[in-house]
Amino acid sequence: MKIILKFGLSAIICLFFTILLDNPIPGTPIPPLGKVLNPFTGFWQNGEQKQGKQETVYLEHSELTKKVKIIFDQRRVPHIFAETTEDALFAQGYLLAEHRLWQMDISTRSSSGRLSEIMGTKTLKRDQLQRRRGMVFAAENALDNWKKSPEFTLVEAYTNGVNAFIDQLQPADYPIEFKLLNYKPEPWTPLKTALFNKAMAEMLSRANEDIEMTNVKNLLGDSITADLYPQFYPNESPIIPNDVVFDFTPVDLPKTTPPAIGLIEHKVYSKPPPQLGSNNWAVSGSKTASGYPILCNDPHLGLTLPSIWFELQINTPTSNVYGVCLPGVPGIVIGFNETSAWGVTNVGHDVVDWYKINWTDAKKEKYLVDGKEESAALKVEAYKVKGQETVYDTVRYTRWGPVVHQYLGKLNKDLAMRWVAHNSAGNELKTFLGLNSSKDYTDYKTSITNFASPAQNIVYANKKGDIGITVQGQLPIRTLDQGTTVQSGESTASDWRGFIPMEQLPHVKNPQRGFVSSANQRSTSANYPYPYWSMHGGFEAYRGRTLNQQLDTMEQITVADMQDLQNDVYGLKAAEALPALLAFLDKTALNEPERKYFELLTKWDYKYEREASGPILFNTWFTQFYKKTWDEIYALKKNIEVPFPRNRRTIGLLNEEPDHDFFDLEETTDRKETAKEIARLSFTAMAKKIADWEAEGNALEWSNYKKLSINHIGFIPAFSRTDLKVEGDPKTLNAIGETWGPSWRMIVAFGPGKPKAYGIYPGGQSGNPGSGNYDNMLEDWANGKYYELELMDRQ
Amino acid sequence: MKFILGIIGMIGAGFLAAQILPWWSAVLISFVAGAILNMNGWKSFLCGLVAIFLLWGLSAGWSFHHGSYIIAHRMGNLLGGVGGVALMFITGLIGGLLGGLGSMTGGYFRKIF
Repeated sequence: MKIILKFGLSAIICLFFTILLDNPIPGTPIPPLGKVLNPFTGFWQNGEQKQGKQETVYLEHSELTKKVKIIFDQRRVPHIFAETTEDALFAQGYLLAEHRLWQMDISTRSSSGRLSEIMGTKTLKRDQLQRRRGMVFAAENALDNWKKSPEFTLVEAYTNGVNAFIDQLQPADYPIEFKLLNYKPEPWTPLKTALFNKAMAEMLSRANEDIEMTNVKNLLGDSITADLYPQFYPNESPIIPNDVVFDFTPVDLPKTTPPAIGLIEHKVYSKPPPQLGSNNWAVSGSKTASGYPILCNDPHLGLTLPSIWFELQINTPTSNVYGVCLPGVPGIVIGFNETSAWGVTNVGHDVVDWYKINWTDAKKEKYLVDGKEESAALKVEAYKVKGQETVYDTVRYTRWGPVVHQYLGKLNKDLAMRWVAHNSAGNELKTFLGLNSSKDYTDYKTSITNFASPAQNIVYANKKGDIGITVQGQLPIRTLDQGTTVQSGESTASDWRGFIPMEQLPHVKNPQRGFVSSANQRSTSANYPYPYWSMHGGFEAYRGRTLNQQLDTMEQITVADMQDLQNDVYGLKAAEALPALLAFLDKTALNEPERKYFELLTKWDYKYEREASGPILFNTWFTQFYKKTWDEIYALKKNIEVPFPRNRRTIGLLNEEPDHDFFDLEETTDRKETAKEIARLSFTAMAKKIADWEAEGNALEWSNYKKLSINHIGFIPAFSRTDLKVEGDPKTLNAIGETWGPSWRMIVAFGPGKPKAYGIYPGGQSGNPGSGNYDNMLEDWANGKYYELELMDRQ
Repeated sequence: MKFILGIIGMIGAGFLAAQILPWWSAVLISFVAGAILNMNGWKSFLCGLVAIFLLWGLSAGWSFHHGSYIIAHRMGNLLGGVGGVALMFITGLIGGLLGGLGSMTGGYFRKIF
């Protein structure tokens, strides 16, 4: 009897520990420790030695027509040599899965609102928002378009490649994140490629300020709104040079003003950060030392580990291309081949509109349009939340788009979202696959007409000497101001007037000035016949002008000059604001350390260099100045969503209208402050803040103050890097922000032979935190170094 | 002698089983071994503990020296700042605990009959 008890007790303890270690601890981030720690299938199996030497492997599979040769170079960049494009893209899919499987899984889960399946209830709200925004709807529509084109077989080949890798995986080989989160990889599908594409569209084109603008117009009136939130600024240096004439007959626009809508009480959901942007340019042979064009591109995106980019070469008998691709998307997005090079920056036009729906029934199934009832299409969304019962939610699709903002119990408050990416008519994959094999300017123009969303400034250069840039994408035609605010969903007059015909999109080829460029600034001069405006309440204000000023004066350009330009840290914003701010200070009235800071700022050359103190002092001062200037807006914002005026407008007022009413502080009723008092008050506040910071033992150097976090996509701190010392600022060409920045720097110089190309991205080819190639390029990137990109010959 | 042979046997069988079965094969093997060895409670526990501690710890150590030092370092950080060698020890200890419990349960099981 006693022995049975002993056995029972022992068995229970043994089973208890086994089950405990086989499962994550509920309510904690603790993973299933037995699974994760055991040396046979746990994390110990995720080690990869740093491979610093070239390695050749052959990929063989029943789906391939012939075996594919892959040469990995010293940085683990694969150079694919295949007999057909299908084989090449199969290999691309296989390699991406091999290096970035978890990234591919989590990005498409996030895009399609399926995070809760692995994370539990904490991501349910986010998932529901993604589905209500119609992300899956958008991806399905894109997929329907892709299926109509012969290139779809290439998407299938890519999919098969990803799945060929997944199929041969054993649990021991699963990427570490699958082990930590306790789930298995699932098969890839073409829909997931579309979801990745829509995730990009959402990052780059979903922002808008419609709700905020509606409210500020209601609260402050049209004329103050126009004064504080202008769409045009003096001294614009648009992407298409001011002297380009638009000689076409535009689509006729009715001159109607949409009816005004009252205050919108909805809270605005989080938006992609406005600082995401990019630089690209191409200089013609007339401006280079070699006599051949040079093309440059550095997209500024969220910086993560693994990086959003993966570097590779794809060689087939019909094309030979090198560049970076997105994990989950076939082909090369930014790159070059033997004769052509191209790059992209974000256009940033507002392509989202909101419509207020007037429901006629309590179930919210019918709504009014032009006095008649229309039925909404109801889609039941299921969320298989981990450890919970499935949650169901209904999304209502109106003629405008899905209802995103819901107001329970109210019939005329819901807002439906119309977004170009929901049903864009393009075939973005065709664009990139076309560019990959483009030989001349005609190929470039033909390929990009398939590109709809998210609209990009696509720059191009070739060996023959052509350069050009096109503001490419599906851009809605609207009457003036229509869609800057929320519109009535009750009238068909609120609808878009179609899309700008592709041949009328802003474009320039071989301009007089010898270069084409873009940095997310306004696309054109005011002469362009179609109204458009920025999704962020204003286009990029400083990088575009800095870039054009620099390129204008440069001659005999070399690759080294272009590297310097991509790493340029001159701050035009500071140059435009600081002299006026300093002029307001009375030097004799300053104490220590104010005097020291004043002297340092006077001597500063506006360069955001590592050792400089100016950037710390100016940025802090300007932030304080901004907050005190717009105290009225901050006060409004406490109760209702309103937009913040742009820095550029703030600096305009500082320089030209220092007596503007908005400089008056709300908290003082006995006097009227001007920019001068605001400058002084904010200088004192800055000095105190920085003195305190210095007193903590910090050296007054920009790279000490500037924080850059390159986080693991799953936000696991042990897999993230926050220790890099960097320079630059979002307003400088080297636009390094807090969690975003130049995600790939590329320079392609044409010559008599093959192009010479240089590039780097902050990360490493492997998505495995246990690999030596996980973050091996970070230091070189932070130091502005480049690697030579070798377009290998077929052997 | 039986104790030593038991350890060697469990390490060998545990290693082979781990190639085809999930991580808990260590528990299974030590249970079976415990039943075969038929030692008294604490001795049986100790035998399983030492065997699986060595199997897991040494396997982890082998991986560590064959490319897993980076992941071990990062996982050590993730688990609250544990070093690579300590992580090998912890791995061994967790395996050892389960091995001991499995072996002891197997021993008691045999004694019922």
